[in-house]
Amino acid sequence: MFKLFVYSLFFTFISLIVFNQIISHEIKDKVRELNNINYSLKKEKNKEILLKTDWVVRTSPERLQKLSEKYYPQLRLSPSKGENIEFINQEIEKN
Amino acid sequence: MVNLKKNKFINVKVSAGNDLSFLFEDSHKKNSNNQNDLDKISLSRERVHLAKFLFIFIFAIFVVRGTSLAIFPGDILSKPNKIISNSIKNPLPEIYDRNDKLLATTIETKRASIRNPVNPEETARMIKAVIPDLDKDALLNKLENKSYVEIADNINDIQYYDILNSGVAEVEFHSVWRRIYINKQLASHIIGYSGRDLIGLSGIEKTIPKSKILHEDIKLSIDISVQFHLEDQITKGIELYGAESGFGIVMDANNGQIIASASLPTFDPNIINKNYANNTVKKSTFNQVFQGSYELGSVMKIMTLAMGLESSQIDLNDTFDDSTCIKIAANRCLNNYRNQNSENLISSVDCLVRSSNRCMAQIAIKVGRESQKSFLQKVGLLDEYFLEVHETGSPILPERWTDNSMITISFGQGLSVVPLSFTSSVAAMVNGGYKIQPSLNYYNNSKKENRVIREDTSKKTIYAMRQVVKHGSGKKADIKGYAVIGKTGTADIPCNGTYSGCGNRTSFVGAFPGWDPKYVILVSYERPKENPSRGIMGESSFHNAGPTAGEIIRLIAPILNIEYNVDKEIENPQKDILKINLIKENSL
Repeated sequence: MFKLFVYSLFFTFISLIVFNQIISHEIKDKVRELNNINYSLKKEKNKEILLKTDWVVRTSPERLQKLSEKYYPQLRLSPSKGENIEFINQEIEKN
Repeated sequence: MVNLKKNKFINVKVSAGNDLSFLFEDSHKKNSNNQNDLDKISLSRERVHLAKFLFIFIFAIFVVRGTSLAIFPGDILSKPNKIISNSIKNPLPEIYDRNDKLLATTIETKRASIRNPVNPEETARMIKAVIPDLDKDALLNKLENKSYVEIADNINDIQYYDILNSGVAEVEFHSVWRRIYINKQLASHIIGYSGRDLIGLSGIEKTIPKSKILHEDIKLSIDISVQFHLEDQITKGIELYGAESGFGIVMDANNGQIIASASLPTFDPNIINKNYANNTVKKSTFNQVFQGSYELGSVMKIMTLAMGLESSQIDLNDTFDDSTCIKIAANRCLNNYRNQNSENLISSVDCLVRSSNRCMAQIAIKVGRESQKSFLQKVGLLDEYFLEVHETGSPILPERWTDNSMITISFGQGLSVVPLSFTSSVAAMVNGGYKIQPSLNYYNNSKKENRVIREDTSKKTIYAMRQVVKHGSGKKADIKGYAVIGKTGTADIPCNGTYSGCGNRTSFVGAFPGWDPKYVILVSYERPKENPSRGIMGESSFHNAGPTAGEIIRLIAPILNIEYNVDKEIENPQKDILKINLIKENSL
């Protein structure tokens, strides 16, 4: 009876070690995956910042003014005037 | 003894007459020894059992704990240290303007360096091939003398792969954070700049590490479009009027938020660290609006008029003699600007419209020296002020507040004020009489609690300021549809102990829309000149600061969502009283 108990303990122990190995292997895999995700997240974040920066640079008032001056003959764009807003308000009231 | 025990009848010779008692003794001893051995064996057996059970017990604990952990894993308390978790976040927060437009951000770039090259000449040649801007001889010199040489900072991806493929084995890459100021020189005095290691050196950047707002995005009260128009117009003005420098500020009159603040010439915070040795660049980092302290001249007359009205010593219809002599020295009378004296009696509104020095001196004398000082103290012109940035200036007071300084301060000479605190005190004059606290934080709403002047005083001041723009020196700032109110000022710049021949500082302070002032604007130029070839016929603020302010108001009012109304006009708050007076006179 005692021998059986010891043997069963022994087997449990061996199986636990195997189990542990499998789990630790899985954990390593997951950590690797997590690192990859974090790394790609970081890259995406950097890209996002770059895109945001690019958008701000492209819509910066300085650049818009230069462009509006350059393409004035075609587009006739100029800074908004108070009269225009009054005109819009009148149109809204009419409708 | 052992031998004796085993073979006692063989080895020990027993001869007659010997005492045999030892045989008995021995057997007795042997018996007791056997008993001892038996005891010992049973004891050790018990011990072995105990140890066995102990081991089994410990193993059982392991097994139970291991099995339970395997079945119920629970939370992981410690993190594996290989995970990249903290490096994702930016080391410094992003800065936004009031409309959530990005102003400053941090991006990750790479820095390339070389450590202990085997063949410096060959390395220098290879690096030169991929980075053509480098000075080859200087690089070679560095590579031969130093063990660690940085070859390029802030390199982009293309350069990174170029350097990787150049064939140099000793090259190393480090990832570094770099602060980017997207709008370049726009609002650079407010945002500030940081050094190589992301340590803020001026402006909001310097505030970040010392405050709790680190790692949280910052929302400033400035509007980048308004800021652009302000800087653009003042830059154009400096060029047109040949001024040395200029500054401008737009402030919310009701809660003190700074919408835009320009100090020109300005600098580009992205490249300031490389060029800081240059003296003009160093000079341009001075923020005239926050740090400067200037005698602003006639714009101060707003304060004097408001002070007179507040003390009830004068009224809008009171008349003053513009030709009286007010002695400021033994044989010297106070002069008006360019001696434009009126021969008739003028009302106090006309005093402001004509910008009469003598008239203001009379008001100041009426009110008195101590009251003037306490009034200026109350509106915040004599105190230091607090702002979210470290660059703040303080006013320069006269050494002794004599009667003479009382007279000169009444028209704006002899007291240097910080433009920002002057703007906020003008805001207090026009917003109904409440003192406001200037702020750069979008979420910081200074409440209208601290009243400095009465509401009717504020209304009267607004009316007088409107007349200046309508009929007086501020005509060129009168933008149709907004009933702009304001006051121009041309002050002498003191130098070498005198006021003569050192040029002027012209300024315009105004507010719009006139019927309910929402924004206060201050524009100022240092030493502008006339430019007859381009239609600028004078040096006074009528010719430069006024038109610039008008143009800025025309551009920014639609952005700031100001009602456009041609028909609205500010009426004299004392009109009814005037009528009653007239009726009385007629009846008499």
